[in-house]
Amino acid sequence: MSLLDSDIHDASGSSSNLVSLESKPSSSSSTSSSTPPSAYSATVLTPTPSFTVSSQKPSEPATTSSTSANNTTQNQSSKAVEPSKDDMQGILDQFDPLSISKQKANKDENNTAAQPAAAAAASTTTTAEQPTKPEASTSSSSTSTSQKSSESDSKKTPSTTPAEPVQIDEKKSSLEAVRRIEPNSPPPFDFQWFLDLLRHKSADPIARYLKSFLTEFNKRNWTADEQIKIITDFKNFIADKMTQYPPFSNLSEPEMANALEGMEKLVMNRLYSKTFSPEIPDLRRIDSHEEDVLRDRILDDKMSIWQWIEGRHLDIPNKFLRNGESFVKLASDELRKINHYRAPRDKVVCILNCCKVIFGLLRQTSREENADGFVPLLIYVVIKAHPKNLVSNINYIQRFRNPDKLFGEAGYYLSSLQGAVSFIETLDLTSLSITEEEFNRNMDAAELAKKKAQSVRSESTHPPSTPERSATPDPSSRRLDSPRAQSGNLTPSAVLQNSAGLLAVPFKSFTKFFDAEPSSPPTKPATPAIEGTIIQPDQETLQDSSRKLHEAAAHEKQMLQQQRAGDFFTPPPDASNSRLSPEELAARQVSAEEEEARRISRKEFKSVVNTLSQMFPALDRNIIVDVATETQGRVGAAVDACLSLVTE
Amino acid sequence: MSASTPRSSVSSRFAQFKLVLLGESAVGKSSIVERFAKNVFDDYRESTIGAAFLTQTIQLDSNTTVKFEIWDTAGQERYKSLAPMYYRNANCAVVVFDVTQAASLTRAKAWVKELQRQANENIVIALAGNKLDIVLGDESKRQVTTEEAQAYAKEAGLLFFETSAKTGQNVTELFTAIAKKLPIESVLASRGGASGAVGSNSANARRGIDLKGPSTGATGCQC
Repeated sequence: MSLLDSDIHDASGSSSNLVSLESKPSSSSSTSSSTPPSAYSATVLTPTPSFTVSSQKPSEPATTSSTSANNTTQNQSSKAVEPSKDDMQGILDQFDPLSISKQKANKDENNTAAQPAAAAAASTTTTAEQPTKPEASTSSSSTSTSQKSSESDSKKTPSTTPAEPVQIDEKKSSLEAVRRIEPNSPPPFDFQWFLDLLRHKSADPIARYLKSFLTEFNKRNWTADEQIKIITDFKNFIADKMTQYPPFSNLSEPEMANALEGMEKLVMNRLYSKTFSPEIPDLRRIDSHEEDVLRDRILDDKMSIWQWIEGRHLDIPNKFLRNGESFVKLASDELRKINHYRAPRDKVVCILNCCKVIFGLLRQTSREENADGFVPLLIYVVIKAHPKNLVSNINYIQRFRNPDKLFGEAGYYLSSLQGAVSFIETLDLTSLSITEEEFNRNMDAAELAKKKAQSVRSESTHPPSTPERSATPDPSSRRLDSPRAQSGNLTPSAVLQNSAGLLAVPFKSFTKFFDAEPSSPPTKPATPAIEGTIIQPDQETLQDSSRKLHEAAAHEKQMLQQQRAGDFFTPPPDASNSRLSPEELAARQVSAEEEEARRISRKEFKSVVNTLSQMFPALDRNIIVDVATETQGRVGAAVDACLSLVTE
Repeated sequence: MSASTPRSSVSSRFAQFKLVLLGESAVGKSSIVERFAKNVFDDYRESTIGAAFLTQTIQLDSNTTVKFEIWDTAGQERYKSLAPMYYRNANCAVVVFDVTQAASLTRAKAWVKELQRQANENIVIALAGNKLDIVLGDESKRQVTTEEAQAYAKEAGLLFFETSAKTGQNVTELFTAIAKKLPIESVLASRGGASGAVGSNSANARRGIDLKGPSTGATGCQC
């Protein structure tokens, strides 16, 4: 009950209509034991008489009046397709710790990282014709919201990434995209709009179901399969409830679809540390989650080795890569962003953006826009991108993305990525167009570099190998182990890994190898809690500075994880004096991060311009700068804009 | 006819199916689809990322609409191990060969065999002998006779058409025949009369999104 109590406190600090979890289903206390998932969901998800809606009307804490007033105005305009970006940013910041510093940095350059796709596309189009800003992105700053967002910053872990990846233009013609944001078209996905709805007084029951669910979910460790079931059940349950309570019950069908997307994003943002395998602490990671991480390591190792692969080895026609390296780089960058986002939908968008850029290359170089051209390039891009946690990301998407959304186009490109992964996992001499001699030469070089990296590694404090991983216990016995014992034990994939003669420790050293910087400073000791997470202690290159920010954020993230796990709406700072000290710490951290983020943002902008200039030599550089400015540095939209300029 | 077609598509019957496109690289797989897309409804082609994935809707009769989700695969031999990623949960497949290349039929037969062994049990498979326009112009270019392909298709239980992506001959017929053979009724029934969906049952859907299974399966059967 104590966790719940603290929830009440948190919520009461922030938003009156979410305050009132005065009682909870009495039966749910049983979930701390090993209740099977079905029983769990039944207890948590079924409203009981004590779980009443009506009792919490007027109790609005004084501390939140300004926030509430703000909410009210937002609520009034919440039907608008494009809410003010600053409003949106403020709220998103509150919700998405992974969103803050970059957004703030972006703001300085009039960027809105969280712009919905259609707006991005709209600005693309506008750019192409005249350098004016589309309405959607010119809303003036509201001091109160930006202040609010900076306040909430101090609560949350900063990082370099926007709350939501901007989906690259969804239709070929950007004109169509513009049409889409006109009044009669269905609204684009808009997380802030959803959050606004959730803040409606009448949505209280929904918010409370959600909060109760999150609390219960966090009470114990679930296997991945259990998580799938629990979360799917909850999504179905809440979808049903949303049809019963306004404002959700008044939504049109497309709006409701968006609201459900918002719900999925909110839930998964909240449960990320429990559901995304690398985020789960080593000691708690079991079963499929552990396998994910091990497969990640194997794949990571393989991709390190295969960095020497060239397009011709994959039969990629020369014409694609002669001028296409910048496309490849861009696609790689997009793919790597998958680790910047927590919601399954956002991760999917990163994959789609990557694929879109690849098709941009295909389109510019030839007329063949089909799988024959696409698949080899995708494999090539994946190897060059060498994204971390790729297996974990794919599995996470497959487990927690609404299955209905994994059909169709997203399903196609996700399957393609899976295919690329499996190709890389099993890649050998016979998979490539290469002579044995050249193959061996490259492998020898890779081995040499690997050894170099290992020796750098062993000079650092990390032991040469961990007994648990190099041993080969009977895998069948591990199911009976406690989670704690399991974490050090072998999963089936670990056995696979060992049988391939690949030990866990060398893999870790390979995170360095891939950047081909064996001279990078010895890493800090990789503590078990950090290993395998996206926050790799890594080299200090500028291009990795975003990861550095992640790393810097890791500490606080861990600190805040406990409280974040339970709390729902973030209280304004003045409502939570008890946690002042970590907040101050965070605030100080944030300003440093912001500075860094601003610098990175400027740098990124420049690099986008450079990349675009390389990709589109036919375009005047000034035009490219305009395009990049108008698309706010978002590569996807910028590429589309440039493509349309080139082809028209 | 977008993806967001209302679930209750008025009084008409609407079902959606996943179609996977297999065949060697140069046999004109994607050209067939491209032609199909142009022939049927040239007003709407739903592809937001690239042409490797397309959807195309056809009207079977006045109140029956079938929407194909068309998944293209890489035809190069090197990438054949990726195919299971694409054909899992497919309701139908078009296996394309080139009537001017005997080897391409051999490859097509291998695909058919694999599909029959590993894909959905009830998958509807159509064999398409493409580049009909070439042999109609010069019969000496033909390396696979109609009779030979027809006999094989019959034996393997496949639909069979000789097509020309270039002229459009038999392309619409091919897809229409597939649509007619698909279990529209059962899809509609399982969806309670609302629009059907690819995968046609959620158990499949769940299974289909398990990365481990298919990928190990794919690699296992390859080498």
